[in-house]
Amino acid sequence: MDFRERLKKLKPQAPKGIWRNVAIFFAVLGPGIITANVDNDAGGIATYSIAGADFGYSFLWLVIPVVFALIVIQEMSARMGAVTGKGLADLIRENYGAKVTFYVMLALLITNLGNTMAEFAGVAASLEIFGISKYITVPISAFFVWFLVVKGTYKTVEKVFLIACLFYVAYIISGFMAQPNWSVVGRELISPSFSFDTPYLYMTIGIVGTTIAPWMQFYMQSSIVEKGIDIETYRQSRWDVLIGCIMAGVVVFFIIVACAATLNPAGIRVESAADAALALKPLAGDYCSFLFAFGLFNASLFAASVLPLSTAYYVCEGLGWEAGVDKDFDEAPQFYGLYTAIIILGAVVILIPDFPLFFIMVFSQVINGVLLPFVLIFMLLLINRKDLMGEFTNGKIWNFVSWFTVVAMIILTLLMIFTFF
Amino acid sequence: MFTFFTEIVRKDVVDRRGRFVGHPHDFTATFDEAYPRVTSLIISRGIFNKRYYSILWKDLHQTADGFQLKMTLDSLKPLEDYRSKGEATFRSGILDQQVVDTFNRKVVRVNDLHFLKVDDDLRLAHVDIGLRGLVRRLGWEGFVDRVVKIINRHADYLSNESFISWKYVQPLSIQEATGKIRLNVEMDQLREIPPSDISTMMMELDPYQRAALLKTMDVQSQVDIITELELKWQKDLLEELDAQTVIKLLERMPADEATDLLLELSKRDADRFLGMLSTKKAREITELMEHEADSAGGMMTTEFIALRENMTVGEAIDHIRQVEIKKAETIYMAYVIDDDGKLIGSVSFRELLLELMEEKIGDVMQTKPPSINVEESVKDVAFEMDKYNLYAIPAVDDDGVMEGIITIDDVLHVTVEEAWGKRGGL
Repeated sequence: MDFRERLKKLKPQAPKGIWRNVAIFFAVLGPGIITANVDNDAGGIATYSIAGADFGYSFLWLVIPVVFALIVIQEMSARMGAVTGKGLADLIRENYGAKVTFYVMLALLITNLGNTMAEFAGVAASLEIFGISKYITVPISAFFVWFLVVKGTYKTVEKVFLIACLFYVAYIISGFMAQPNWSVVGRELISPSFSFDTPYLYMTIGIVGTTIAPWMQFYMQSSIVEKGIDIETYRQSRWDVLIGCIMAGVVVFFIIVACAATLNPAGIRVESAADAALALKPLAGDYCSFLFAFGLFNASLFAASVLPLSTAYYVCEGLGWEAGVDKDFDEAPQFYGLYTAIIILGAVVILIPDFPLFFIMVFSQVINGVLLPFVLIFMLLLINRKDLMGEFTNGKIWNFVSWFTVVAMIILTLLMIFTFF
Repeated sequence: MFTFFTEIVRKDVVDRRGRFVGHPHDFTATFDEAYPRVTSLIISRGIFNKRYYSILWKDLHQTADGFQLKMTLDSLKPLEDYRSKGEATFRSGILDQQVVDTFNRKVVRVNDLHFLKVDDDLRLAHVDIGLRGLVRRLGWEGFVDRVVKIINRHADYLSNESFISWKYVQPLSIQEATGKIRLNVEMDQLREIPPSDISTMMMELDPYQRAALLKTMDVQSQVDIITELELKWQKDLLEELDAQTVIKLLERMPADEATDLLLELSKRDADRFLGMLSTKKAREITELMEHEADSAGGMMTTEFIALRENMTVGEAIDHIRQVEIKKAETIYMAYVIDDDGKLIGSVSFRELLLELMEEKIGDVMQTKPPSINVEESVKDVAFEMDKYNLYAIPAVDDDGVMEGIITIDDVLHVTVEEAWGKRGGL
């Protein structure tokens, strides 16, 4: 007999009014919205800020196609999870064998190690604004994250992180208060511009890589499976995916606009959190750096709690090792070993004196962008297999958008490498 | 002679005249014997535009460095996609898939297959689930072995093979047309696993495997397995089963658990199932549904052993044996009721066994046993049971008429969760 629900009723009733509404909001929060919010992590904030500060409005046109591709790809992940009931790593292993899986997992592990470094760099950079040394903040955060998950209290804390994500509203308000030239913004949003120099290509791959990160597809599919969403209930999840992706897109748009309107005309290059924080000055005035520090810290810690855990989980899932926080160390040594190693490695690198924090935040996103097409290829091969997906294989438009993304990302990567030398 | 799948697929296949055909890719086998015997070889030819050929095992020779066909290359017809034939192959059913290790009672993933070659037959003897098997698949076995030897000549890695004998392997992906998992020939292995362990293993499978595995069990095991699962998963599992099976399960489930499960379903489904249940069960469930979920009435079951004051101990034991044992959730406690159904006493099974057969129940029972009103809260129930050290407590209405009992497992479930929280997964 399940008394969980009953017991909840025994506890003091939740306050009425605003808190009741908040509770309802969280009850309907789905994997799509959570994934989208984790997506705007330290790497994301840094990449969008620098894109706006260094290139003005010239990356705005990218937002609409990237968000469109994000919707298509996240919907694919959700659909695969709902139809097969398996995670992406499982599917790759069962259909393409141990060898392919091993190298995909190795690439994912390295990329996500980079992402974890970016999160701890975000922690270090944000708290430096308050004058707290990274030698204190990073080890404490790393331990906090490790402890949170191993003690299984993550799910309760997740909601706190999510509420704090309302911080992104600050960018929207600040974007308006900076009084950008809206006709220019509108024109840039719909007229593509392109350049073949290395920094522009680097930034393009970074923006795509941070918005459509490879780990998100694994995370999304596993969340769907874990929530027990199946073919009948997946229609509602499409809305969840759509809303999540659009929310992410709006945040991307306003971070770029706010930075382009404030930092770009002043000629400020983002090299520290204090620089990036100036984008919030129209809203918060002299308190902008505190506001920014709070937002960056929350986003970094949120993603840092999700990334190492999920990475260890997929790698173990794909390679057939036991995984999950409900197992103890003796049952799942590889899982806990990997999980702990990712956190320690991710944190230790940041402790190197004068480590370029903003460089790693953006660079990790570029690596995401380089890996993305390969993960997408596997997703596309799997989702178009009749024996796995039955009548739920991809339609023509979906296939076109995804294959286009694959080809575009490979060409961009080759161009970047080519122009670099 | 033993050989690995990984070693076989590296070999060459040539035709009758010695022309290169391709590499072995997969095998079909007959699973009707204790160790599956290979019946045909599937060859892959080409790198990008792969074509597959299926060759019966009797149509080829095994040579020192590979296989030779008894026909020529030109006489072969390629298959479009051999997977779609629906036949069980090692790659689709076992290699890289999840299987149940019935010896260690765990779900594991297969890294390599270990074959035994007897005369011309090739039989699957073990599955390799170890790290070394994984390294072998990557093609690094020789290199890694040498490195490990330099570090420690007696490393466990080199000597401890993580093999599971086929006897203890239950494949999950080889399914019959009925949606059941094809049971290993040594099928009793799976049946000996306790229901709670099977429930734990089920959490690691996908919904289709879960349902397929459940279908291999008899009804009583199915009920035991399902009731061990969380409500959410119980509901998901029901959706994969046909209505007939669902009804059979609900009939056998304790009424309180069945009620919880039905409350979880949509109103339409719940009503449909209620309509198909036997009148007695349906009435019990409807009564339970009316109670407040967080009250004693909401957690009680109406299936308990009722005795009369004027029965003898012998009659009572007979009564329990013949009438009540099938439907009662617990037989450790029996309750004595009067003509109006009012609770007047209780007697434990232990007391019944120790008393003389001729004694009257009225003389041996404990009068005015501790009971709880159906309106009281879960917390009151827990305190009351703790106070009197009870395995079960009767629940009565305002007139003292006995409505049901609450058993210790239901209360323990709540208190454990309160004390230590839920064991979480990713």
